[in-house]
Amino acid sequence: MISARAPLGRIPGAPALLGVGGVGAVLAVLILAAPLLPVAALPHLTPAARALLLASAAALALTTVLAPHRVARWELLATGLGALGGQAVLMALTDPLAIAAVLLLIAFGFAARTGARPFVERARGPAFAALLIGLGWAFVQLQGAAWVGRVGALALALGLACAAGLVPYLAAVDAEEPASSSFVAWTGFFGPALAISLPGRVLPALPAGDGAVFGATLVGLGLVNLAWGTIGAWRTASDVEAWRCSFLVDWGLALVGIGLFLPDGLAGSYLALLGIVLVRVPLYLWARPALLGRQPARLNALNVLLAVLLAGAAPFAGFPVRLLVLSAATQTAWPLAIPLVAAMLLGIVYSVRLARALGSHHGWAAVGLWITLGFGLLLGVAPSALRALGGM
Amino acid sequence: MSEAAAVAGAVIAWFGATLLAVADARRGQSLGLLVLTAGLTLATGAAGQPPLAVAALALGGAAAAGLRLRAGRPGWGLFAPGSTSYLVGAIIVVIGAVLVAGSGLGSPAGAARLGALAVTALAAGRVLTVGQRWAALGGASALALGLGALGGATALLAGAVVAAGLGAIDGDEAVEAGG
Repeated sequence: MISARAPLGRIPGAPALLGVGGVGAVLAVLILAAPLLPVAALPHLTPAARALLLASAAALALTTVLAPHRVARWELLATGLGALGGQAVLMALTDPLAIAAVLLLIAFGFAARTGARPFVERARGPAFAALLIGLGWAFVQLQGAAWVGRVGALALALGLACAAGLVPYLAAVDAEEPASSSFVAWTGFFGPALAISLPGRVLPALPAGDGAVFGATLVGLGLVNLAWGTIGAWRTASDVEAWRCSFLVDWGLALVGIGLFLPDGLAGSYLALLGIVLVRVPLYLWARPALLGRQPARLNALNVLLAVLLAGAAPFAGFPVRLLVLSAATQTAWPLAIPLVAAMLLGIVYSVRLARALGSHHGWAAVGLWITLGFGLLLGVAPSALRALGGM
Repeated sequence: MSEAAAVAGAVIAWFGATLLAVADARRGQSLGLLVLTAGLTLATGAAGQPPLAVAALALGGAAAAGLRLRAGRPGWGLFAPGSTSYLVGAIIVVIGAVLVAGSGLGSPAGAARLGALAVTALAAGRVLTVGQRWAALGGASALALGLGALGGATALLAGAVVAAGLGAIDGDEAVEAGG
């Protein structure tokens, strides 16, 4: 296991990072416990948002304690707690303009962390997402020409994809960059929070025509990401890029599920987002030593099991997601099922490559991988219980 | 009366955002932030937003302007070479905002929204085009204020808190270079 032990005093910005972690932890706990507290002003989470926040907390605990890291564990914990607080606020706010403003603060706050790419480059993508969401909502609210509302709905859907760093807003990937400064923070942490809360905030206020634009854009973006992710994870020369593409596949299914506006699709999307947070992100963190060339890629017994999990096969996490999204697609228009099935079958091809790139782990790191596998199994065998937990 | 105040506020806010866009040094940037905050405060106040939320917006904007004096090139740096494109952008933004939201110009709320739209667009242009850390942070504070002024009390409060919070982030390029 690769780990670093850096004394707090020697790290620039350590007090600020600890402060952000503390504030984030307090915010997350307050928002989670809001229904139990006698303060009406505290924002409340939807059941699905609460489930995602709990899943994020579990993933943070697991990866902080057991995953192989190059940064100090206290630093990872403080960053993770700050992110958890940001995620809680994003999901608790009901006004999309306030959500856009908070997204801006998170974008620049996270860009201020050390990273391989320049500060401005890292902040630009999420800042553009905040702009799209803010302007989109303002346009939808305007009592003007019909085209303004349609443009607003389009911007809202694009803003969601941009916040998660999906196609067509893919940022450059630098393998050397710490995970918390890389695409993972947005694709695997803040993106799912927005995807689970934003549609529920904006859809009730959208007229039918604007809602159709919003849904169709999400389905279109979902199919593009599914295709890009599937082919990319299979054909790209870089294992890091292959892992990023595997996130796009999950996101593709989630976006199609949301955009169809059917109970099955929404449930599939919710399970896909839980899978990203609870399974995909931890596995990527475990794969990093091999991706950075510090450990050989290997396919042992555990990796074969993980390949089955990554392929989305039964009885693991991706299987109910695929069934539910397919069911929603066939209820809407059966030809939509063709690209979905094709992408699901091709998933088998790249899953072995991803599992190989996980390398071989021993001791506590191996225990962490087994726990992640357990999370994947839980998501796969108990979708009904998880749907009930999320109010789906 | 409130309509005139809202229109005046919108114009001042647009002027402040234009100043921010053409500023190539810390004082010019802070001046732009202050002017646009004053304009948005006047416009949202005239539009009937809750006084506490409007006061929070004013405080948040003033704090952001003050905090942004800590980093960036010294001096005013207004209308430095290369600012022509931002000036042209400032005029195009007005035309675009009137096309999108011009129908609401007759009411104070509509005028305030027009000013906020102009600030949002100009600030976004700044964030998406500059390469310096301090300039991007100044633009982001303005963007947060603009987004806040587009909505009601919650958005105003969030915009104010975020603008001040962004002001607290170190804008010194050396921080980044030092890793």
